[in-house]
Amino acid sequence: MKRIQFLTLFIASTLLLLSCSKLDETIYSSIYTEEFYKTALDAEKGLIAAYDPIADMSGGPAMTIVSDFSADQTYPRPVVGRNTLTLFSYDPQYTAQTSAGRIFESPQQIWSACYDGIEKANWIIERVPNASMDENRKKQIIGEAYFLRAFYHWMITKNFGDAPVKIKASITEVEAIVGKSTKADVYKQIYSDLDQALAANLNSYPAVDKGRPSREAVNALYAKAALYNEDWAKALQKAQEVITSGKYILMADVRDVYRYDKEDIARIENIWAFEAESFSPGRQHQLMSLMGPTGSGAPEYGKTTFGSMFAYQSFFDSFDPNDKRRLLLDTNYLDRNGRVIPQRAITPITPKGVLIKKYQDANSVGGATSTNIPILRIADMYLVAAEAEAKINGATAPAYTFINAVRTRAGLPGLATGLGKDAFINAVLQERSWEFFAEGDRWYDLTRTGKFLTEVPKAVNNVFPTRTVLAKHKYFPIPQIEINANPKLEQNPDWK
Amino acid sequence: MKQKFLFSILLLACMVQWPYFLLAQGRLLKGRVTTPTGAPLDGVSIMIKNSAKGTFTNVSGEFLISVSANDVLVISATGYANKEVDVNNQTNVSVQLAASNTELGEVVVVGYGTQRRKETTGSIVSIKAADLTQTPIANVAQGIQARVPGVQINQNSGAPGGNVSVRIRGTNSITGTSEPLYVVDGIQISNGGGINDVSPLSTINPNDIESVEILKDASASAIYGARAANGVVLITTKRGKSGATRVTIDSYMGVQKVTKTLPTLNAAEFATLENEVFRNNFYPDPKTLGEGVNWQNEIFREAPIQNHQLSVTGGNEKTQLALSVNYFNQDGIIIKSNFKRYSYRLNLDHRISEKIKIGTSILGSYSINSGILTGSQSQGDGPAVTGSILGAAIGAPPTLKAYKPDGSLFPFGEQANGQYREVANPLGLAEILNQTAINRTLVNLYGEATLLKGLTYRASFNVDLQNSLNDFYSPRYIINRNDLNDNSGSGAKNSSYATSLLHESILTYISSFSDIHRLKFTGVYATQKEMFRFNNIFASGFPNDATTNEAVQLALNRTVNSGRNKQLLESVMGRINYGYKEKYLLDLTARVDGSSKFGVNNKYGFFPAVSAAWRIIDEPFVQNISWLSDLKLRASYGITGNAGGISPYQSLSTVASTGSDYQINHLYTTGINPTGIANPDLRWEKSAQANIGLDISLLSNRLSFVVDVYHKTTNDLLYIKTLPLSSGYSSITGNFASLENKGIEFAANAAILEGKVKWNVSANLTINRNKVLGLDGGVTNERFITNYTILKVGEPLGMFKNFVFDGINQTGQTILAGYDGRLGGHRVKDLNGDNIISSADQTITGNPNPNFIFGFSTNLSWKRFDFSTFFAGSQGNDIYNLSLLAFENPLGQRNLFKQVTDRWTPSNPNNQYASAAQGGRLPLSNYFVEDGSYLRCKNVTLGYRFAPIKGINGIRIYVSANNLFTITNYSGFDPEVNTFAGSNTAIGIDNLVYPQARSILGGVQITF
Repeated sequence: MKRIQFLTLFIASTLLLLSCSKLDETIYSSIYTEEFYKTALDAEKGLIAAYDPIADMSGGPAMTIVSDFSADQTYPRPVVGRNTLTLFSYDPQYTAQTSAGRIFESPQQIWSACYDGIEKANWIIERVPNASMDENRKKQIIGEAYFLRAFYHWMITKNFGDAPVKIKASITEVEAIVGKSTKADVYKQIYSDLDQALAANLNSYPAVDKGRPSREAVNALYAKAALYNEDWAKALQKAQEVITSGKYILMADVRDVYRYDKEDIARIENIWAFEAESFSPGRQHQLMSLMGPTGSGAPEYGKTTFGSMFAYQSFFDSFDPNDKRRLLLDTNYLDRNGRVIPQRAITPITPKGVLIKKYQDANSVGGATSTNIPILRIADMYLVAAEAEAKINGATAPAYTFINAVRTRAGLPGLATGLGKDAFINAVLQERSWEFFAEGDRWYDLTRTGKFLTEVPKAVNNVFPTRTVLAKHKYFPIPQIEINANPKLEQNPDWK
Repeated sequence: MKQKFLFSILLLACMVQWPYFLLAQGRLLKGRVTTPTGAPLDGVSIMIKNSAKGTFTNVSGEFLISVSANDVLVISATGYANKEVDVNNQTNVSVQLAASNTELGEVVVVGYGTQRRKETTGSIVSIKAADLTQTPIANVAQGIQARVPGVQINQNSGAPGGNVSVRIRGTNSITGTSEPLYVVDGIQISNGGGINDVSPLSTINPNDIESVEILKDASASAIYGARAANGVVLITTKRGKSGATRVTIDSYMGVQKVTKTLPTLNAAEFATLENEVFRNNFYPDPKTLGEGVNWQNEIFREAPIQNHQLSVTGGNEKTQLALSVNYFNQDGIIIKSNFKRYSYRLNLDHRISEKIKIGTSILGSYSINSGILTGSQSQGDGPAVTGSILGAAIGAPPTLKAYKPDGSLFPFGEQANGQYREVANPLGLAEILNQTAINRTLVNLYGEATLLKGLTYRASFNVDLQNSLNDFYSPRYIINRNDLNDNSGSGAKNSSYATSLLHESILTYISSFSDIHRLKFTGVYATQKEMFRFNNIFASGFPNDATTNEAVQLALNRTVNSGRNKQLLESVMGRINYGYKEKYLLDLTARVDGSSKFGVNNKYGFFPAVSAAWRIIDEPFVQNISWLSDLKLRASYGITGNAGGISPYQSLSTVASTGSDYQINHLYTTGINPTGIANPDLRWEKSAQANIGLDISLLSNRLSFVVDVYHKTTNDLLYIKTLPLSSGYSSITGNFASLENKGIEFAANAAILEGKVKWNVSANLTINRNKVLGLDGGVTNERFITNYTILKVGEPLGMFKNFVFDGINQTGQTILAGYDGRLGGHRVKDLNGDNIISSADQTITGNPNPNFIFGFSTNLSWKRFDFSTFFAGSQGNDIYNLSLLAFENPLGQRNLFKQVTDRWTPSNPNNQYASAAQGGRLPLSNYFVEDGSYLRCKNVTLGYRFAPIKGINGIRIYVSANNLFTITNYSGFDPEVNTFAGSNTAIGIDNLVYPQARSILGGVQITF
């Protein structure tokens, strides 16, 4: 009898365990997608994730050096991966960058970060409308997501030309794979997204949160995208809207735009930027370290600097000596002991090293700097307006007003009057070069105007004695890893 | 019996006083127990009839017991017929035991039961405890190395408690795990981990193990269904036996030393090189600097190892007990590294009645691993000297000092004008605390009831509890004062709690319709729940080093992470063993596994297997062949699964904080975003394996051979398929690849001499070939795993693909664009002749998979001496020696290998070593591919057994040398290396990992 009880106990306990087992998954430390994007905080957290790719492409920062190592103002100390942009020796695999661990400095980083951002923005745009929260903030969050999606698509098309327009979240593997659109269609989408963002009741400066786009930032991106799209009327209209809004003005001293300790004051000129912070955890970039002298030689430049990026001597020489913007370059530096280190000793690679001073941070924490990287500045709007006005109406008085605003602040006299349309436009492009060096801008001026074929071969020195640029370099090759995985996508014809 | 229990406990407590207990007996009788052929029998129980008094024979078959003239000795041993011997006036008895008629031969442990060796149809190999612990091991897998054909074991790191990778019949997975399933007394556990991790298996004391059975083919392993595709290792711990109580003390102590160091430049050579690289006079007079510091001598040491075990076994018909305690302590040959383990085990079996039996095994251990970073996986030259103490010791300038005059650490950044601030003082790296303490308890409780004649029900409840705490602290004082900032000094506390609960109900039915048919049915229902939680705290910016990581609240910055997951497994299986006249054997096995981790569309998997054997030896037509003592042909086919690579929730669409963050209004905020695309089809990897084997024994079993041929195709391999980046994700995990393993295994055993001199030789050889059959569901044909290894359809795993080295760019030679070539630098071949070096010029340059691996051992005994040696080897495998990439490249600011003294200069135009005028990295080419074949003398042991004396059954003392020598052409520390630890696809890569030690031990084994 006792034995039977014993057996019953065994079998009962077995059955007990049996009935408990269900193969549904209980998730503890993550959230089902269906359960998210429901509250105000969900929406804000989801939106932060959509900003994150800006930091991802600002670390290297691919966002600026992809342009700046390719163009005619600045060059890298030639180590594997970095010199391929300057030498135009990269391939669709970005082999050199991959093997040297420098993908984060390559066009591929822009490709992956932008589509990462687009995906995160798509989720906001699709899901946040159903969240229960303050309706105004909801509208703004969705508006910010539209703005970011436009920005990322613009980064893609200015670097790669025709590219996928991705406006649906990748919920299934089928939805994840999208083919290419023409550049014109990419811009169509950018316009549409920016129109949505404009309708989203975004705050203007100074009410806007630091790091978020103001209503004017949307117009500023609109203006610049339209300029790159050669849609002169739209570019002019949008740039003017930003200027006449009166929310942003040029700072008196151009150097203040870049000072780590005047960052918040400079927001009056700096419309939208990558927000870097030196604290930990925090997101930073390595421009300070790349630009400061080797061996952390100059405290003024930052605590940890490598001496890996310089301006061409010819670019330095192109400035009018009275141009205040030349003060953002230097041909000597003060070392830790206060001694002046002459130009020939700046770097072992050339006696003509020219230092760039836009991202100095004497207060950095090691290599971590808090200096922001400007993306949209009011100076840009003046020059976009000048160029667009000239394209439409020639070198008119308003066009002169726009460009001279920037020249005057730089301490230069007004532009010589009586220029023809083309000469005026060339002057604007030259002005842009002086104004935006080391801000990831110049290469796109050169490519959209075709000037890269003539200007780049001239930008040489003893480090890069010859630079062979071809028509196919107008756009970077779509990363091979994308081509391999995307049956709907073909490489740009020039790169096949 | 109770008295006997008390006695053994008292014995434990009063080890020192043992002789006094034993003096109170009668006169002494000496004896020896052998087989009919005269071979001594070890562990035979000698009991005095109708009493609780008894003893055991030692390895020489000898025993000594106190008796009186009318006593009767009952002599019993498993597999032999009991024998009774009247004592009378004898003082010396010699007993021969005949093989028992009822128990026909050796029994092997199989999944959910046991089987007689002669009835097995699958490929199962057993390893005896003595072989397993012949070398000093922290981890049972180390003991299996080179003992078993078909099993490749690689000691990834020589660090104490370090990681071991085990591959049964090749690597069967790509992104999943390829480690076998371990079943310890019915408790299923897994192995794995990275190069700097503690091996989970090291928490189990190898000295407690009675036997290890390796289930290699599908028929043997299919009973473990979705976890069996990589083979199964069954570990059975020692259990008590009825009979005399046996107390054993087993101790060894020894010392370990590094087998070799790698020659580097001395101070004078280094200074000359530095002046040359920087074209200055940083060192005004290099010659006067002499040898300088050899940093490898600073980090390597002679390290002690010790192991002490006390075991007690005993019991009567009703209750049997096995109890042991163990202490193992191994210092590493690199300073500060250590592995310590305290463990205990209790196995208890009790028969409640004739039909009901209950029992338990409890294994507990507390192990503490003090690790040191040795394995950097980065090919960068920066991490090479900061991420690994070995790299730091090779790269450290011999011109610098380790300590300041006041004895404190001297960071390199504070010496030589800060010239070497990017190189870490290796002794500083050793100051980084990285200690992992693991508490592990494995508990099995079972109850077994005979329901009807032949029908048994067994319920088993298993618990595996594993708590671990990792303490990390990198102090401020190792950082040079110029680099110290608010964030300096970092610490972490990472804790994890793993609980696994497993219930199994096993129904066994044995029936013999007649003498002709024999049928055994096994049915199992099992459920398992595995729960895991972790809390990680990381802090940086400690104001000082006083509290280390014990007070993270003092730090400026803190980040915390936590997580929790759970998985469920529900299984039903059945097995039928059928034997016809014990000549024709057929086994059918099937298992259904349902796992919570699988996608909703594939929750349950089905794993069937069939096998058959033909005992040809029992056929009339071979009966007359007198030299043939056994002949059996086996064949099997089955399907097994592998779910090891799937993590919980992987098939779902979820959002998480995956490192996306941004700062708005100067505030750092983490974002939450979707983690990937859901895969509702996610399922187990599926291996189909066919096996044919032949067992032959000749000359009364003195010569035996086992040969197995297998072919294994694994489909639905878990693979991280590349997604277009434009999808917003880089990959999706799914069942997108397939590969094949096929091979031949040989094992041979020969008792060459029997009699006064006994000489036994055994050897095994494994030939395995693997090949990738498909990738990415056909999207890609080839993919780089590292920058120099690929995964390619039609090729084995882990092939090296890179440029072809073509000497040094000599003066006047054209240097092609595309690879950063320079005068005096490495030159690579332009294979496609397009005058530019591009990815098209990369080709397959090496294969890290061996042509074959082998092991052989020999045991010789004469009188009371025993002598054994054990060799292991691998032939035809290549190693990618990444350490040369960093330490043959004269970049400046770090020391290099000695051969760099012969570097290229215009006046020394050699064709091998790059010049000092470089600046870039050396191109990744086959320059770094080396032959990794080796033959290693793993162990030489010489022992001596004393004759039994009063109260002491046996004493054996021995000395052994381990890793005595290795014959190899490989230039690195050790050819048995993999920086990527248990990786399936990055293998044979050496970026300086913890080298294995040579050790000399002395030990003693005492049995009472």
